[in-house]
Formats: sequence, C-alpha cells, structure tokens
Amino acid sequence: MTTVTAPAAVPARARTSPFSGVNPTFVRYELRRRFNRQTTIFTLLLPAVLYLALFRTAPAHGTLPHGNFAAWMMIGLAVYGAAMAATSSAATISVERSAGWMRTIALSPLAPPGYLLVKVVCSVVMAAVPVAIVGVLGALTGAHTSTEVWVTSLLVAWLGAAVFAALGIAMGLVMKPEVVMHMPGLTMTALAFLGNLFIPLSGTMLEISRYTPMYGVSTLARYWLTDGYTFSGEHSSLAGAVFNIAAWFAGFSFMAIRRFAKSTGRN
Amino acid sequence: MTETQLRPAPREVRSPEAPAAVLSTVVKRFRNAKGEEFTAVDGLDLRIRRGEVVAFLGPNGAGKTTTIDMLLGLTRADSGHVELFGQAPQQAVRAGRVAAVLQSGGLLPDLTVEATVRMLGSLHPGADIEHVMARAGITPLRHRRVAECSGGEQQRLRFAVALLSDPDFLVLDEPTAGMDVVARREFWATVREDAERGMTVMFATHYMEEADQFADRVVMIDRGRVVADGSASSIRAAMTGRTVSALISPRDAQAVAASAAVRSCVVRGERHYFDSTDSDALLRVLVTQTSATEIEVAPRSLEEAFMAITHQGRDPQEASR
Repeated sequence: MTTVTAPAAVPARARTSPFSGVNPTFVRYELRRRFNRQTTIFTLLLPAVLYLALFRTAPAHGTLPHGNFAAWMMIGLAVYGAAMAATSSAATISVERSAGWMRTIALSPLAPPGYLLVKVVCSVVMAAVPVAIVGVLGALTGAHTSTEVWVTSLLVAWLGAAVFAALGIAMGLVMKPEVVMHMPGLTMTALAFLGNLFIPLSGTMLEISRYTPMYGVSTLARYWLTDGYTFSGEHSSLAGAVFNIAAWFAGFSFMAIRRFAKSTGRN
Repeated sequence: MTETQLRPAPREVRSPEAPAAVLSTVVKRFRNAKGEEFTAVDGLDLRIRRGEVVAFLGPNGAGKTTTIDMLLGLTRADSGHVELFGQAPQQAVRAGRVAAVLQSGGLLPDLTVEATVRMLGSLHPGADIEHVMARAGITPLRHRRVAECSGGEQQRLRFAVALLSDPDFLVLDEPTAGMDVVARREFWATVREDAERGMTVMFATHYMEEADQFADRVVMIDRGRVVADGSASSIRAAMTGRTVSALISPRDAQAVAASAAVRSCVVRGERHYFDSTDSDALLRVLVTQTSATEIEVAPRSLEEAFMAITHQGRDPQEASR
C-alpha cells in the first residue's frame, strides 16, 4: 500500500473541488465528438419508428384521467429513446479507455468525479434529441393531454436519462469496445419491456417491473398523465418511483466509479 | 498607498527541500492470465533532486514503465512509498507540477491535433495553446486528425499536452520511439531548453546514446531493481571498449588477461570473453602470441555495460574470474 502523507501546506496550484477543471470548452469538445457517431442515427430513429408502430395499440378497456393512449405511448418512447441515447453515448467511454485517453485524463487536473460528471451531462444532453423527436411525432399524431403534463413528462423522460448514462459508463468500462457497441440496443429494449414502456403490464409482470431500472423513470414521467394508475387499475406510488430512480442511479454510479478507478492502468 | 494585498507565496518557498521525486522500496506485482504472479518492480529506491535530468535506462521488461506509472499515480504500488515534491503523486499531477509523455496511446483518434490541445488545455487555466503547439513543433499539423498523424507526430502532440501546465517536473516514457533521426534531435533540443530553465526531467529509454548525450545522471534498472546509478560520464566509461571472444587454451587466456588492454575476462561455454579497452592491441596479441581461434569482436551491449558497472569497485581479481 502506498502511504499518503498530507502536505503541511496546500500547494499554490492545487484545487480542492472534486469537479475542478469542468469547463464549457471541455464539454463542448466532448459533445462535438458525440455528434459524429453514425450510431446516433439508429438511436434517434428507433424510438420514432417504434412510436409510429405502437401509438394505436391501446388496450380495449381502461382510460387515462388526463389524456389519451398516444400520449401514454409517447412518454414511454421518450423515456426509452432518452435512455438508449444516453447509454450508447456514455458507453463510448469504452473506446476512450482502450485508446488510453483515461490515462491522459488521469494526468490532468480533472479528477474522476469531474470527468464522470462531464460524461453524464453530455449523455443527458444527447438524450434531448430523441425526446424532442418523439414529442413532435406525438403532437402530429394526436397525442392528447394538458400542457402541464406535456412539459413535466418529457422533462422527466429527458433528465431520467442520467440513470442510464451512469449505466452506460459502467458498461463501457467493463466491456471491450467491439462488445459494448451492441449492448445498449439489447439491454435498453429488454429493460423497456420490463419497465412497462411498450405494452401496458399488469399482475405479476407489473410486480416484477417495479424492481427494474426503467420502471421508476417511466412511472414518474407518466404520473401526471395517469395519477399513478395502470390501465387495469393498479396503483403505483410516487415515492416508489422516486425510490426506484434514486436506488438505480446510486447503484450504477457506484459501479461506474469503482471501474473508473481501475481504468488508468495499462491494458 | 500601501499595498496590503496578500499574495500567495511562491510555491518553492513552501517545501524548499522536498525532492522532485522519492520512491522508497516500491514493489509492484502483476498476475498473468494463468494466475502466475510476477514481480515487475522489486523494492526499487530512487530519489530525484530538483533540476536533475535523469535517464532511466533498462532493457525491455525491466520495469521502467511500471515504475513511471507508480510515480505518476496511475498505478498503485503494492508496498512502498511514492512522493512527488513532498506530496502524494496524484496531488502533484493534478496541480500541474508534474506532467508526462506516455509511451503510447492516450490520444483520441477522431480529434484533430488542435482540438486535442485545446480540449486538454481548457483544464489548465491560463495555458498558452499557441505557444505550446509551437514549442512542440505541431503548429503546421493543427488541422490533422490524430489518427492520420505518424508515431513521431503523435509523440510531439503528447509532448505539447505535457507542456500545457508548465510543469516543474517532466516525465518522458521512451519519448523518441517512432521518431526518425531528425525528429529525435529536434525533440531533445526542445527538452534541453526546458531543462536549462530549471525543469526536472526524467526519461526512460533503452538507447544508451540518448542517456549518454542528454542526461546528467543515469539510473539503470533491471528486473525491477536499480542496478547502477551514476553520472553519465561513468556510464560512458563503462560503455567504451569492446568484447573480444575466442577459443583459447586456459593458459594462454590467463596470460592475455594479465595484459593492460584487458579489463576483465569471463568464460561462457567454450569461449573466453575479454572485456577490452583497446581491442586492436588485444587482437594483435591474440593473433601473434597465442593459438586463439574463431576470434570475434563485438561492441559492448547494454547488458555488458550493466555487468561492468555493477562490478565496478569490486576486487579486480574477483572481477577477472
């Protein structure tokens, strides 16, 4: 073990904030890099196509208190699109790790929490694009709900992407670039089914759903539309959804930070 | 009006005597795929004073890069103690006092040269991007993507990035690998300028010439330990001379070994190896006065220089056997 002696005085150039070094220029370059990726198109188109395929598949009975089924599906696909964009964007950290970029970052003033923050922020920014696309499609295809619900639901769908950005970083640090490329599509789609995004779930499936990562964000995003009720009348509490989000975000972040600390060695 | 503003004291004043780097009995072990453990760095001790230019010399696999990784806080030592300017390595590195040019990687292939310098430069407030690019000689390459740069050009880019924080201590891990002769000369000229302004420099290399030409001090490591540590001139002395080997009878060998041209003599297999300061004189003796056959002359290898240096100061009788 390396013994760390505390210096007697703080050196002139040392900075104390764990987020020191995070600055607009760095974030701008980071963002510009992501818009170059061809995978972006696939990530952005898939939620749009799925929305168009699914927005008319309303269950025979059951109504929503504050809008129609197209709005319900629109919010679900906004959550799905945001999560997918954030995960695949964050998972590109895998490429950086294999290029040795993490070693360069480790030699800069940017501390790991700061770097991870930049990654999460940029991934969430990327997630705004599919949310906007699905939102526009929803408006064009007759999704109907109050303005208040429109704003809050899409905002939650967008910002909820932070949970999946953390997951993407953890995946990117665990897996090789060739492997990780295919992961967001598979994982996110599976999680979306489990998380009550595409098909209204009920009974046992809904019970299982409550413990999966996308359930929290989707329930919260739809809360103002559904008052927490499913089409079959089951109720989900607001606290449960918030707890789900917080727990998964903490879990994924912990994984990401653990792996990050190990990533500066040679590979 | 009197100036009452408090200025931060210059950083040298804070810990005037702390050396640039201290490694004490540092150990690092790795596990390979089969689960076998091997020791890359085995109780290494090293102290680098401020302003020194130190060559870190050793054959491939000697533990140079692992040592540098620990020095920079990129890898944690299994045991032992590492300190830079009296601080933990990561602290000194994040404060910009220590910068490094790593051996390979560390760059994003999709960025341009300028974007790389600007992106990383944004992390160092007050860094002069244009100046740094000019010093490293990459200004003409600014719009080129990193993926399209040659090994030598990428190396100069890494050097530019290392200069961003205007460090007090620069660590270079085989910095001239992939450079041609001209680029190599230019590179060292730039580093030398920085060194003359008082920057401490440590560079790893397996080229004896680089160590000889550039360093004030040469530290040789082998199998994760320091085997020699001395001035460049003492290393140069050890490097001069050639090894002459031949098939020769033990009696003749003893006689030849006693001559002034021979520093030491060892037997490996059937051959006698004479370590010689004047191989021409020795050859004349071998050809005219002995029955030696299959005579070969070779310049001294790095390994032989190691041997010569580690045997220095020993009893000459013992060394000659």
